[in-house]
Amino acid sequence: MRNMKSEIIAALLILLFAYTAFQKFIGHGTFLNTLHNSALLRPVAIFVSWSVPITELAIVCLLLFPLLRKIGLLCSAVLLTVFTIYIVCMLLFSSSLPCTCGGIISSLSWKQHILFNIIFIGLALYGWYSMRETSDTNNNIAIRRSQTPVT
Amino acid sequence: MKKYLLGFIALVTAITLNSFTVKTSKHPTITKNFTYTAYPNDSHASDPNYYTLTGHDGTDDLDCPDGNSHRCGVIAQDDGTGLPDLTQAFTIVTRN
Repeated sequence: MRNMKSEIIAALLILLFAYTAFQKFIGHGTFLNTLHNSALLRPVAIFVSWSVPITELAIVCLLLFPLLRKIGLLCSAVLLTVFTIYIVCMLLFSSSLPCTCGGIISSLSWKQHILFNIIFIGLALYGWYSMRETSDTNNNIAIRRSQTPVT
Repeated sequence: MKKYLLGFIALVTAITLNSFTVKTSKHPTITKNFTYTAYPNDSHASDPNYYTLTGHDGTDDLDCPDGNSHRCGVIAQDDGTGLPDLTQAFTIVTRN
């Protein structure tokens, strides 16, 4: 059941990251222009315009494969936290807040966007924790089995 | 193979969703650079008619020497007619 939960969470994160990454690749010019107009990211706009969607697709790959899913869930939480910190910083310190998000997510208001990110951070951490507990249980079983004398 | 199923369904769904363009926006997705044309007279700073898009549809940088004495331009959303939408949040760029 725990594995099923983390599978569903991973699928939701795959949907989110794959969708936004493809949006950023398809509309790369717009994405770059928006980053260029952000005071905070202007000096590194070109680097960020490629590294963000590539990182998102790398996380999708991690989430796709069960063996790498645990690290994928943790990376998802970290990336979403970085996005959320960026939004909060821009809301606090910038007069203009261009949205560098992809597709339908850009139709959310900023408060909704932060809430959306927090929900997904929570889901990713819950998924990661569930997987950690599952692997701990499996390790304990393996240790107990190995202690059984073979006759 | 079954353990990959949900992930691949999600991936295919994401690719399919990208086939649809969403144009709705409650916050600015695209901002452009507008040069203030009445420089050094700042009295028209709040009038969008005194702004013009920089080259390449507002993607070229504003040519603003250092300083903060006068309005040089704004980074704002296009109101649809090639003028800045000054009713939305925008960034002011100044010069001497």
